[in-house]
Amino acid sequence: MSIGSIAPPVAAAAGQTAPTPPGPAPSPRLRLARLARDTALRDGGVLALQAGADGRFAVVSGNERIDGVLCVAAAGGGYDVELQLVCALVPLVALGERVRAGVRETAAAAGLPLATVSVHVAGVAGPEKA
Amino acid sequence: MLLLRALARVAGVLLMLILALAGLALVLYCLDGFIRLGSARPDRLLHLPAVRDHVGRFLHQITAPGPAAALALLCGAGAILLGIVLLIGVLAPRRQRLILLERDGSEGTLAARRRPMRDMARALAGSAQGATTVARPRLHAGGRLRPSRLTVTATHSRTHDSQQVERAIGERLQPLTEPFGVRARVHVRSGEPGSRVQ
Repeated sequence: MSIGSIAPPVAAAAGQTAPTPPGPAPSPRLRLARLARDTALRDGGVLALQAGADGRFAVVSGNERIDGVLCVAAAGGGYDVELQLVCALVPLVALGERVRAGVRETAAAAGLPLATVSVHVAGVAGPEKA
Repeated sequence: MLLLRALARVAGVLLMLILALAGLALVLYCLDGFIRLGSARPDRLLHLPAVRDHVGRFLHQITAPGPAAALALLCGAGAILLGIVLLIGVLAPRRQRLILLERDGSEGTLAARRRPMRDMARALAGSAQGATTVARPRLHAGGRLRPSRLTVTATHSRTHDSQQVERAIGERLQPLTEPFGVRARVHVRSGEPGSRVQ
């Protein structure tokens, strides 16, 4: 059975991080977005991150674009991070909790200010696409 | 909806362009008060007096009774319709309704769009014992007081009892529906002759 359709997402090799372009030191917002993306992709249940139909769900800074992540400064300090995921056929609740916990842990380890982490499941893909 | 939004965006850009050109023309007119532009004045450059004659003739034809008036009426109605469509494109909510699992101001939300929920429900229902085919499930997002509702329609093989299949599908759907607070409704009917268990 064919389930869902994945709009051209970010390459989703688990555990693989995208190369960081050289240039000035990245802002905490960009670092947080990178970290959230990499943490999410490290989970076996996450196949890709999706920028949405109009491509607006992304963090863009200079030449770098991180699809499927939004980082917005929170009123009380830190950043609100939102992730839009394409998942495999796995229990969504457990997956969401795992990703949230992972992002919290890695952000704390990196000393990045984090307020909230939201996970939105934008699509699922069958095993043939995984 | 995506097309309407794109159309509204294009219309917005065109209107801005027209506004910019009108502003430029206004500037040239103001400049003409200080420096005589002569033939470089926008109305002379664009031969506006001749255009006014043409447009006047055209408007006169439109207001005259006959087939041209009917055409003008149709064009007017079309313009109103286009305006409504553009308004929908501009004003329609951009965010899709999400099925919320958890909303905590200090932690963030955990949510899923309707489409993946439907896809998962279909896959889970299809794997239930005795289910032959599963139609595309319908999912109505709920509000603050009303829970979301998932309706799954499936067919069962002749060797299985419909209630048994209904129960099996319900059990299969539970891990998906329970945490999201979705109320599942399963309809099972007898399959067509020749249909096979998946």
